[in-house]
Amino acid sequence: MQGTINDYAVIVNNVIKHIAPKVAPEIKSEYLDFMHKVIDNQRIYSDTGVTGLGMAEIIPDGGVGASDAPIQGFSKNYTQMHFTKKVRLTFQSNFFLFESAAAKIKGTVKSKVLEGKNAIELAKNYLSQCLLSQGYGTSFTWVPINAVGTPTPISTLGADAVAFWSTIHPREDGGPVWSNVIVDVVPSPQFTYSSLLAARRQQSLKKDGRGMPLMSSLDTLVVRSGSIAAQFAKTIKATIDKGLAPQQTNLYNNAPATDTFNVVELSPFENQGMTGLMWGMFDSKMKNQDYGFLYIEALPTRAEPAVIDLLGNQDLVMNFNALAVLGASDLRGWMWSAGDGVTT
Amino acid sequence: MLQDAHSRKISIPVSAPVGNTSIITAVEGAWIYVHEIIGDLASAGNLTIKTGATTVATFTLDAGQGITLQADDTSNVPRFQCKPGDDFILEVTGGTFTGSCNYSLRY
Repeated sequence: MQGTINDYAVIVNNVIKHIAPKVAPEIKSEYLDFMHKVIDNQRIYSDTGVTGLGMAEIIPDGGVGASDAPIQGFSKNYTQMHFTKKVRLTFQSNFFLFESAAAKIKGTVKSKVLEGKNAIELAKNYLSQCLLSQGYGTSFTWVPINAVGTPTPISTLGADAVAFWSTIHPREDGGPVWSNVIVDVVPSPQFTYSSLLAARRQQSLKKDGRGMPLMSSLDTLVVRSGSIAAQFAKTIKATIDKGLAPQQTNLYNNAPATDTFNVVELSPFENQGMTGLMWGMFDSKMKNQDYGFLYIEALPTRAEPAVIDLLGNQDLVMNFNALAVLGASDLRGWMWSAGDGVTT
Repeated sequence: MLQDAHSRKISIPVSAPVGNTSIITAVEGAWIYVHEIIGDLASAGNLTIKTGATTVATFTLDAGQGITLQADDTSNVPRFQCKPGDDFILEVTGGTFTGSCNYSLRY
């Protein structure tokens, strides 16, 4: 919207004593909790995989060993996306709200309600969790919440050309496909202690590009803040941290628990973001430039100089810009569940 | 101790005549956790329990024979669970099944 003075008829009324900002209290760059940050100044960032060698063999005396060499893996290009926020206020709006000696909106309130950097961080936070929640498909149309701005098509394909969450990820050496969809009898189970164990069991079976054990373990849980899954995860974590196994009913038989985990809670944007039932886990050792989600930044959020539209209606226009791209090439370090007992 | 978590439990009366009766209607974005079903069948027949289109239990009961299906109350794991989008259904032959159902939701 463009803020004209008629939009602020109550605020500029001279009897108003207090202007109360209705702004979320804190904006944290939560995408960095599960994405690895890469600073790259080029428009297109490319990565490609390469395997190591297969297992050695045993030959008879005088025999000739088979030749082996690394195998070229899958490649992906990331093209920078332009995140932007334009603020536009008419001459009178800017003057009576912010500039006049009797300006109604001052100091901390002004900084809260005009913080374009927060708007961009929110877009990144929301897009990052949409990649998680929409990752069963091959693409989706990302729509900024509050309908300010245009829908944008987003790919959710990894370098292997299948969806982020898939039961048919190909392997570099042509070996069996692998899955990063959690199955605990049913696919995409809700978060329980048994499905935590199931996810870890499946992760332990993951292989590298030549079919060798990946030796990966899930140590970080991603859930929507405040959901039953998030709260229950903390109960399970606290139980484990006490050395107890949550499945036991007899205190005399307390056995050592399985490994503990960290909990990453993401903001409840809803819309295309995470549902309360969704959950996933990743191996924090595989949150790096080689594996997992990437946040590739060319331009950190920048506040452009405020300008007056002198050739037009003299509106005050402020722009905030960032260039970054969010995505993933290889999600071998992740397991994910839609929590609905169905989705694969 | 806890193996699962859910909303508080709700008890509802059950009266399922011959045929399929949706006892608990699906709730969008939530699992239905059924912790207990108790009741009896008016005339000899079958009581089939379904979560959506999936049959999860079938019992043959005499006229007036009661049945109690309960979860282990200490674990929070339900006796039956319906995926989001699935109703909890009783299919009855013979006569009306009358009793009570105790359930909760997992969002």
